[in-house]
Amino acid sequence: MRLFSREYNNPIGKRAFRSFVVVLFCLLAGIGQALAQQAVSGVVKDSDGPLASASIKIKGTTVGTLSDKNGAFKINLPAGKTILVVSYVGYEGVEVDAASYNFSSPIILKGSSVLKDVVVIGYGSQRKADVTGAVGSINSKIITERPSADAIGALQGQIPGLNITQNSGKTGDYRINIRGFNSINASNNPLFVIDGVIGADYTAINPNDIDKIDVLKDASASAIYGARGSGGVIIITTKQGSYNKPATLSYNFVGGYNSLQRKIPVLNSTQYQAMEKQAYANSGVPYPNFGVLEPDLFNPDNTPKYNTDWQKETYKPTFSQNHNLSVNGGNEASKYNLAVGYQDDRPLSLFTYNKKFSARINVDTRINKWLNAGLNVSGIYNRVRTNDGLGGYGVERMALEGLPYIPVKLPNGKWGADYMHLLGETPPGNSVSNATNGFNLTHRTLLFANTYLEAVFSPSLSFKTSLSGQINSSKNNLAYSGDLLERGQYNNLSASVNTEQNQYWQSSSYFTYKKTFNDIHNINATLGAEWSQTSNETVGTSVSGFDGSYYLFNNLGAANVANPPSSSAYKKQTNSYFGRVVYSLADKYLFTATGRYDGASVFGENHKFAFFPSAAIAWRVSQENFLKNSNVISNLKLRLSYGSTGNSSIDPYRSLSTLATNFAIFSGTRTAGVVQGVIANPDLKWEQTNQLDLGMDLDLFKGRINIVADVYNKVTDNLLLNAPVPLSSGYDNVLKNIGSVRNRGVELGITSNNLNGNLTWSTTFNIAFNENKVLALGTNNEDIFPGPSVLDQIGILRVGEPVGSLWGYVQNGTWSSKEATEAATYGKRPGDIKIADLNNDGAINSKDQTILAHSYPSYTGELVNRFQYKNFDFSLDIAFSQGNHVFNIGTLIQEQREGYANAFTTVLNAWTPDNQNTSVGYVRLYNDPHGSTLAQTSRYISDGSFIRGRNMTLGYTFPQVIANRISMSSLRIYAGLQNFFLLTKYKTGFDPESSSWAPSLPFSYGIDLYGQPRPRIINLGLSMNLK
Amino acid sequence: MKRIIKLSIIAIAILSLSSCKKFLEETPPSAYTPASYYASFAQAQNAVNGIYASVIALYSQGGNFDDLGLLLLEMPTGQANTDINQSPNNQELLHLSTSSANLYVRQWWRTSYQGIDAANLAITNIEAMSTTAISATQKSQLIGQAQFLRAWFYFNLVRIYGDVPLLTTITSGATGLQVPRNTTSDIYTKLILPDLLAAEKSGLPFFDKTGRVSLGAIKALLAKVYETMAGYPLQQTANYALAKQKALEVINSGNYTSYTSYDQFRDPANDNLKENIFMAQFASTVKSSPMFNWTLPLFTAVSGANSGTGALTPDVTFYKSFPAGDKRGQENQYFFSHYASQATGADIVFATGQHIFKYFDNVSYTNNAPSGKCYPIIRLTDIKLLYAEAQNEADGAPDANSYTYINEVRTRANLGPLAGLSKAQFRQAVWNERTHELCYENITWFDMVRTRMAYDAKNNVFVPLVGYVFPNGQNTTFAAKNLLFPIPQTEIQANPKLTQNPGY
Repeated sequence: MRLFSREYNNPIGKRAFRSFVVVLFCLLAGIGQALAQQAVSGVVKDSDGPLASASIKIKGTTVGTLSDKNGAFKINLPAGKTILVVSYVGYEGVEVDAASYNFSSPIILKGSSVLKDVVVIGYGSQRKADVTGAVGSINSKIITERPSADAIGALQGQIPGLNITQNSGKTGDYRINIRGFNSINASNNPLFVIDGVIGADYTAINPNDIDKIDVLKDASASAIYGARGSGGVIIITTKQGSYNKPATLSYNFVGGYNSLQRKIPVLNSTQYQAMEKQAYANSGVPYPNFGVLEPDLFNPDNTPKYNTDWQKETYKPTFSQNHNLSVNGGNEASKYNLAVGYQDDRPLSLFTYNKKFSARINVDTRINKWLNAGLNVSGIYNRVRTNDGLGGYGVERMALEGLPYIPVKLPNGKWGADYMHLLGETPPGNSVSNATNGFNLTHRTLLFANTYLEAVFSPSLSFKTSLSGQINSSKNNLAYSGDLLERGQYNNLSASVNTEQNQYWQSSSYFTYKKTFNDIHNINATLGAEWSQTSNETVGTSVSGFDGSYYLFNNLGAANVANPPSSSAYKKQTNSYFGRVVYSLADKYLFTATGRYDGASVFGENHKFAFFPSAAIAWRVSQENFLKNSNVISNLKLRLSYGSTGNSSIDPYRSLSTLATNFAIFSGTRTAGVVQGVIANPDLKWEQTNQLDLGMDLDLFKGRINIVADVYNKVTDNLLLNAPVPLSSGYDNVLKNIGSVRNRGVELGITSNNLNGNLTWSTTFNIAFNENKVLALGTNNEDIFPGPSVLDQIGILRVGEPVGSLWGYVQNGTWSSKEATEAATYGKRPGDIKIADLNNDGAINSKDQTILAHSYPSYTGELVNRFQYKNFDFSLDIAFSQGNHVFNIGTLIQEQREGYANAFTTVLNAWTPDNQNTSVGYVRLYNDPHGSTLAQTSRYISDGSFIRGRNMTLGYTFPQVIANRISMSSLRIYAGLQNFFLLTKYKTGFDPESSSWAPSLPFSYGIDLYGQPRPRIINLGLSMNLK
Repeated sequence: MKRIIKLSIIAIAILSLSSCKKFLEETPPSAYTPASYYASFAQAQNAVNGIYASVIALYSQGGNFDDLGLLLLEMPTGQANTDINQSPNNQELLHLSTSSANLYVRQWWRTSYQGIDAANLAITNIEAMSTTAISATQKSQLIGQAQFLRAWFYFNLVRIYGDVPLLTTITSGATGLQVPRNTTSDIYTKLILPDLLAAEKSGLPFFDKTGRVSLGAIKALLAKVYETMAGYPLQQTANYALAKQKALEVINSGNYTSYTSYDQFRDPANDNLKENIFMAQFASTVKSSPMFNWTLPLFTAVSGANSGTGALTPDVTFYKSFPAGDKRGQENQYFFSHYASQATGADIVFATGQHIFKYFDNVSYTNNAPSGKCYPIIRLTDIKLLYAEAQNEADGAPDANSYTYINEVRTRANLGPLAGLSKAQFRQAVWNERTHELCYENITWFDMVRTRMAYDAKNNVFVPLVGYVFPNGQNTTFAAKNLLFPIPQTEIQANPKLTQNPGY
C-alpha cells in the first residue's frame, strides 16, 4: 500500500493505520455476547421486496428492534410474550403471533412504498420518513433509464435544485451546481462522495455500477460535510451484493447512433459568391477573376466548382457502444458485486472518442456476530481523443467558417486549403484536415480502493472505521502531423506531453448509536473523525521542429527546439471531527443537530479550523390524530432547517508569501528570473454559507400523489475572492475573505401515479427557481471581470446583479441614410452598425458598455411520463429552461467579416440602401477602408429559453416463461431516442444549453464561440439476467 | 460490557489522534518564500533577471485580436493605420477616443508596476545581503541594473499617465496598498534622477552585448530624461545642457557605431551591437518578437511562420511625406508594397498598399521560424539627434557636432546636408528628422507630448499638437486631454485615492 510508504512522510497516516490494526486485533479477540432468552428471526417485506428499518415490537413491552437492510430481524421474546407488532410508516401495521407464525415465510406489509426508501446522509443512512433536511434521491432504475456514458448525464434533470447543464458535445462535459452559485473564486461544484470517499473522482464512474445517488441540498443535510458542504453534496453508493442470494449474472448493452440535431445556416457557394461580389463592390475593390487565378476551384466563367457543406463533413454520424457485465450474490457470511464494463463513446466531432474500461469488486463479509468488513476496489482506464487545441482556428470554428468554394480534398488527393488568391479570405486550415492530422490524446488510469471494518458493540452501538485511497494519473499527448500545416510551416511541427499524478487517502472513523427509549424517544447519533491528504504532481514538456511528421509525440528528443519543461507539486490536508444527533419524539417531531469541526491546510496560520453547525426540526403532521385517518393526506411532513457550511476548494499555499519564477533573455538565451508571487494573507479563512430551508413532503391519496416542496435562502459571506488590489502594488489581486452572494429559490417535485391497473401511468414533474444576487465584492465593491474575454470582456460581476451578467454595447440596428450626419460624428456611415452612445459623450468607447442580459435561467425543470402496458414500457422525458440567454460571439465574426470566412445566412438580410431596417451592417471586406464595427453588442444575445425532448424509450420485457426457456431470469430489449426535439429562439448556435469554455471557468455558461454540437442519439439496448 | 468499554476506549483513541496542527502545516514545494531566498549571488542575479521580464512583456504582450500593447504609443500619432479593424483597443487609439478601459492603458500601468515591485524587491533584499553571500562589486552592479530599470519604468509612467503613485518599498501585505498620486516633478527628482545617478556609479561596464543594462544605457537614459524634463510639462530648460552633456558622453564613448544602411537596423545579427544601446530582448526559440508579424500585411502568406496581422500600417499621408529622394521612403527600406512568398517565390502585391518594412526579419522569413529580433528601446541615432536638439536649445544655435549628427542621418537617407540654419530652423529640422528617422519606434509619441508639436504631414510643417487634425479624414482632432492617457478604470476602482486625468 503506497499510501503509507515513507516517502509521503505522514505521521498521522501511519498512526491511523497502526491504530486500525490494533482495533482489528482487539475486536477479533472479543467474545460475542451470550444470548439468554428465546429468540425468533424473520423477514419483513412489502410488494417490492425486503423492507429495511421496519419496526418490530413485542406487544405490551418496550422491547423492539428494526429490520436490517435485507428486511431481516431477530428479537428475543420475554417470557409469556409472543405477539409481535410489525409496522412501518405509510403501511398498515400487522400483528403476528410468534408462537404460531411460520417465520420461513416473510411478514408482508401493505401500503405506500415511497417512505420506505433509505436515504444516505453521510456517515450513515436514514429512513426517508425521518429525514429533516432537503435531500433528493434517485435509484439505479432511474439512473439506467436514460442511457448515458457517465453518471452525471443520468442525473440531469432528476432532482429539482440540482442543475446540470451539458457544456458541449464532448463526453462528460458538464456544469454541475446545486441551488445556484455561491462562490466566485473557490469552486461551486458540489462535493462528491463515492462510497464514503470524499472528493472521489466522479467523472469516470460507470453509471451501471451505481446503486443510488443521494443529493444533500440544505445546510442540515450537508453540514456533516462541514467545510466542504456549501456547494451541496452528491453521495454515490455503488451496488453491493446480497446475503443469501444465489449468484446472478447481468449483461447490459446499449448501442447509440449519433447524428447532428440541426445545422447552423451558413451560405452555400452560390450565395457566398453573390454576397462576396457585393462586399467587393461595397468596399470599392474589383472582384477578382478567380476562374483564372484559382482554376482548381473555379470554372473558366468564374463560377465555383465546389459546394462543400463543412458541417456535414465535420459532424458525420457515429456509433457508440456500451457493454456491462456483472455478477452479484452472496452466502450467509459474504456478499459481493463484481462488474466489468467497456464503453466506446463517439462524440460528433470527427475521429474523437472516449473509451473506458472499468472493473469493480465490492465485497462485504460478516466476520462474526459483531464484526463486519468490506472492500471496494475499482479500476478504470480511460482513453480520450478530442479535437481541442488543434490550431488557433479549431475544428469547430473551421466547420462554420470554411468557404463552401473549397473542397475537403482536391481530385489530386491534396487537402483543400490555402489558396493564394483566397488567402485574404479564409484562415488557414480545413476542419477535416485538422481533425485528421491533429492528435490530442489523453490516457487516464484511476485506481480506487476503500476498506472498512465495522464493529457492532451492541444492538444500539457500533463503530466503523475505513481507509480509502485513490490514484488518478493522466497523460496528455498533443501533436500536429505534417499535413495539418500549410504555408511551409513544416519546420514548426510540434508535440507536447503533459502528465499529472494525483494521490488521495482518507481515514474516517465514527460511532453510531441508535436507541429507542420508552417507545417514543428515538435517538440516532453519530460521532467521528476524519483525516485526508491529497498529493499532486505534474510534469510537462513541449518541443517543435521535427524533420517529419512520423514521430508525433513519441520521440520528443528528435525535435530541434525543446521548450523548458515544467513541473509542479502540491499537497493539501484536512482534519475533521463531526457529530450528528437525530432525535424523534413519537414519530411526530424530529430534531437533527449536526456539527463539524473542520481543519484545512490551505488556510492561514490562525484560521485552519472552523466549526460548522446546523439544526433542523420536522413535524410529521400526518401522525397527529386529526390527520391520522385522513383519506386525502397519507403523509405530511414540514421541515425547517438552518445551518452553516463552508468552502475550502482553493489552491494551496495562498495564505503564504511566495516568490514566482519567470525568465529573461540574455545573448538569445533563456535565463531564469524571480519576482513577486503571492501576497501573504495569514487571515485567509473559510468561506461560509448560511442557509435557511423550509420544506414540505406531502403524500396524497395513499401515496398516489407525492409532493416535495422547498424554499431556501442561502447567503454566502467571507467569499474567497481574488479581490483586486491596486496594480501599483505589483500584484493583481489577493485571495481574501471579502464579499457576499445570495441565492434564494423555490423547488417543487411532484410524482403522480395517474393510472394503476393493466395500464400504469405515472408522471414526475419538477421545477426549480433560483434568484442570485451579488451583495458585496472586494474592498470597494469593484466590478470584477471573471472572464472569458474575446474582443472584450463578456461577463461581469457587479454588486446588485446576479452572477452570469453579460456585458457589452447596446445596438440599435444600423445607421440609416437619413442619419448620415449624426453617424459621421461617430465616424460611421449609413449601413454601419449603430451602437448606443449611452453616456452621450459623443464617442463610442468602453464607457458605453452595460449589462445586456443574464446567462442563467430563472427556472428549469423536467417532465417525465412513464407508461407500462403488459410487457411494454414507455417513458417520455422533456426538459425545459426559461430565462437563460446566450451570447454568441461567433455571430459577430460570421456576420461582419465577409470575404474572410463563410457567413451566417443572416447576412442575406444585410443593410442595403433599399433594406435599411436591419441589424446587419452592409456587407464589406474585412479590410474595408471605412472599417467595420467589431463590438460585442446586444444583437449577438439571444433568448436561450428552450424545451428539449431529452429522452424517449420504448421497452419490451419478455414474459418470464420465455426468459426461463433460454435460462434467463429476465430479458428486456428497448429502443430510445435522445435529444429528439429542441424548441428555442436561439438559431445561430447548435444548442442554447452550452458554453465554449471549460466548466472550470465558472461564469461562462451561455457564451457560445464555436461550441461542439451534441448529438441526437438513437439507442438500442438489451438487458438480461442469468440465474 | 467490559468488552464494549475496552473497545470504545480504543475507538475513541482513533478518533482523537493528536498533533493535528502539525498535520495541517503548509510547505510549498514549488516556490521559495522570500525569507528563504536572497542567499547567494545566483539568487541575487535571478532577482534582477526577473525585472527584465517586464521589459520583454511591454514589447510583446497583447490581447485576443491583433492587440499589441506597444501600439499604445503608435496608434495615436496620426502616422498609423491598420489593415484590420477587429481590435477595439487599436480603434479607440486611432481615433483618439481612448477610454480608461483600454487594454493597453492597463497593460502599461500593470507591467511597469510589476517591474517596479520586482526592482524594489531586488534592491531591498540584495542591499541586505552579507558580504559573505555576495561581493561588493557584484552587489553594486546588480543594484545598478535594478535602479536603471526602475527609473525607466517610472520614466514611461510619468510620460504616459502624468502623476503616478511613487512606490519604492516592497509590497509585503494586503493592507496599505492604496497610495495617492505623486507629482510628476517628484517622480523625476525623488526617483528617476537619484536612481540613474546612483546606477551611473554602480561600476557597470559601458557596453554590454548580452542585453543587460550598461553604463552607456544609463547615460543615454539620463540624456533622454533631461531632454524630457526640459520640455513639457516641467519645462525645466536648464536640463538641455545636461542632456547635451550626457548624450555626448555616450556618442564619444566609441562603443556605438551608426548603421550604414537600413538593412542593418533590421538585421537580428546587430542586436545589442552597433547603434543599439538598450533593447527588449527576444529569441526565436525562447520568446519571439511580435513586430514582424504585426507589420506584415494581413494573411498575405509572405512568411511561412507569420501569417501577418497587418495591425500596424503607415498612414498614407505620412508615408507620402518622405521627400522624393529619401531612401527611407523607398521600397524595402522603411516600407514595402509587395514581396515574394517564402513558400512559392511568387510576388505578392499588397492590396492594402504600403506596409512597414522596418521590422521585416529576414532570418525569420528565411528559416520559417518566429522572429527573434530584439526591439530597440534606445539607439545611437536617437541620442545623436537628441544631442542636436538639446545643444541647439542650450547654446542658442547649432554647433558643428549638431550639424555632423543631423547630416549623418540625412546622408544615410540620400538627402543633402544642412547648413546655416537659425535656432528655430534647426529645431524644426531636427524634429523633422526625428519624425522620419525614428517612426514606429515608440519614440514619436513621447516627442509629440514633450514638444507639444505635431508633424503636419500634409504640409510638412510642425503645428501645435492640441487642435491638430489627423490626416485620416475621420475628424480625429487632438484635444488637450489626449496629452495624457487615462488611469486604468480598474485601478481607479481598486484605489479610491487616485484621481482620473482630466477629460476621461
